Amino acid sequence: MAPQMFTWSKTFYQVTGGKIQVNYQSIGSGAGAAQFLGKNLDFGASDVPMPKDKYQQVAGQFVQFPVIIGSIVIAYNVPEIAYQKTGKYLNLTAEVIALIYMGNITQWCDPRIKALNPGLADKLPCKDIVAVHRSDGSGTTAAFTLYLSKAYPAWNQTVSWGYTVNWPADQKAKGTGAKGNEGVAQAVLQTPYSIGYIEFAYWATNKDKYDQVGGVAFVRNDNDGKYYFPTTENVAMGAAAGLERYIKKYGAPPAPDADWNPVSIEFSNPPRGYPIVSFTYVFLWKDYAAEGYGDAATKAALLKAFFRWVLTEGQKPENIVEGYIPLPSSIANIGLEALNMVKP
Amino acid sequence: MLIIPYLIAAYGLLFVKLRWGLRLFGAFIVATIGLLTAMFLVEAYPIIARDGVAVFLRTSWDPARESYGVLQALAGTVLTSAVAMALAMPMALGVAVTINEILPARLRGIFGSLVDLTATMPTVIYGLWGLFVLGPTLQSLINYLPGGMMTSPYTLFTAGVLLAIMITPYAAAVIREGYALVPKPVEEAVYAVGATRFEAALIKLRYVRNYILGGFFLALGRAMGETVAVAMVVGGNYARFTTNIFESGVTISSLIALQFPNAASYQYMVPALFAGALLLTLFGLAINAAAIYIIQKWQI
Repeated sequence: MAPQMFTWSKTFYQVTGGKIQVNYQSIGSGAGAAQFLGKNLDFGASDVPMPKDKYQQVAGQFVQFPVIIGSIVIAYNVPEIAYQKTGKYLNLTAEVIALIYMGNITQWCDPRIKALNPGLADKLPCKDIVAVHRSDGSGTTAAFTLYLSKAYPAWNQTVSWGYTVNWPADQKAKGTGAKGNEGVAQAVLQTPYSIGYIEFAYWATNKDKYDQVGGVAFVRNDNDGKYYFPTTENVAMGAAAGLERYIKKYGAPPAPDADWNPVSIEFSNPPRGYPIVSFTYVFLWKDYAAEGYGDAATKAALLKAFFRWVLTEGQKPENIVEGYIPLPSSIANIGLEALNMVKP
Repeated sequence: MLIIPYLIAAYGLLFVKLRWGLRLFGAFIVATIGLLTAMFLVEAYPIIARDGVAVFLRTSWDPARESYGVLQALAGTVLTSAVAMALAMPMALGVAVTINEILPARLRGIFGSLVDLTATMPTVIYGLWGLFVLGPTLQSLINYLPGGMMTSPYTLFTAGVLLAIMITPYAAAVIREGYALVPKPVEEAVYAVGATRFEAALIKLRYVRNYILGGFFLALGRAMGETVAVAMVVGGNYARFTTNIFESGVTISSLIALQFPNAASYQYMVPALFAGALLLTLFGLAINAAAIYIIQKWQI
């Protein structure tokens, strides 16, 4: 999220001829939401929508909308079946991923992994799986555990989801933690027989390194039964399908001033496409003057100009950082509608 | 603004009456520590009110169910510090003796400054080095032995070894200063009774044992409180209680650093982290009290 926001801020600064500078700091999703609600910031950005209890305190006073799509890849380090040797990537399902992190599948030669990978079955070694997870609270963990909660109900009952969860694999198997996406990436690359979840962007720039020691898994979308590789097209397909499902269920696209927790739940594990999708949401106040901000009219006008640019020009390939996925127009339109609700 | 001259005057007066000035500053420091502890207690109060002392005795960390405990982190702090001290003290003694006894006089200054310089390096640089070099190296070294116990490069042991390297210059600096102060007549007497160079070094170290103890506790304080570098290499199993140093775990300060940024999203996580801070402060105070007690006892 942060690299994309920095690029937008920098490009927008140039586009406006150095007149408008948007200052963005990466302080963590939870802190971002808290500081926005405390009115210490003009806008907030978060990997999850405003939490329900906080939403209820300020319902109707602010808008939230997605600005960019991210995704999470499942990387593994199993030298025996490295992509460079076999030319194949592993197939995994939500159930198998969940059972690994629950400490129930502990070896790579487990019959449940073999069953999904007939082409690699005889090469899978009987070595203990090291399940790597984030040690810091993170939006990546929230999106990953939300996906597992939705796609494999037993996960929801035993572990549930959030910025930080209690990983059963830590107690029952060889689970270990690492700090930040870069920490998990490094741990997976350094540790034979490990598996980890990493933000798409961190893998996209280093594909070769993973192919040498293992690779990145095809993940089955349990709704249409197909295996998807984390490509830009497959992730965008998942995001659009998630919105369609929401509209089908609730009869209309989500309103920018509504509670978006149900929306993020519909986006996760979508009917088709790569199933582990995550969004970055932006929070804006509807009426900056009423919230007590100084110079409210100018502030609102600048924020609207910036995010209008982000949702239109900013979504063009040349303004997107490698590894992030632009919004389909159906989702970008929700943001544009949100900007109309911000009082000038 | 008018108050400033008065403050300067008061400040000056305090130094004229040096003893009272020092007492006042001493009281100020004690009050600061007291206030800090009280602040931790106030911030941690919600979870102490909910769980009682159980928060200090539990080992869970399950935000989805708002269940927290910090005992596993205290165990991690104790284990990493123990590993660090066990490795750092021999190294610090070695550095002090080498600089004062073995190196030619011209090189002493340079070598001493180099050791001091390593103490000033930003801890995040140590952390990165631990992440990319030390962790993987230790893993292959340990796993070369029969048994192969290290499943991950990032464990309590990795953090302990990294800490040992980081705190050695602190202990070494204190011991070195003391060692250089051994009176010449004492040194001459030692050699006069026929001591070898090695025996002389041992006798001189015994002579400066208060400095060694001082260096020990200074380094221990650093080891217990180090945050950034440890958070990068300790693994970070915030919910697992382990006494096996070759497993990944967490320390109190790294738990706070890792979990604080998103803690505000949960109802009781911030109080739980402050409970951890309170525990670390009390633990540190206990260690320092023990240190003062031992030093005073040795001096008599």
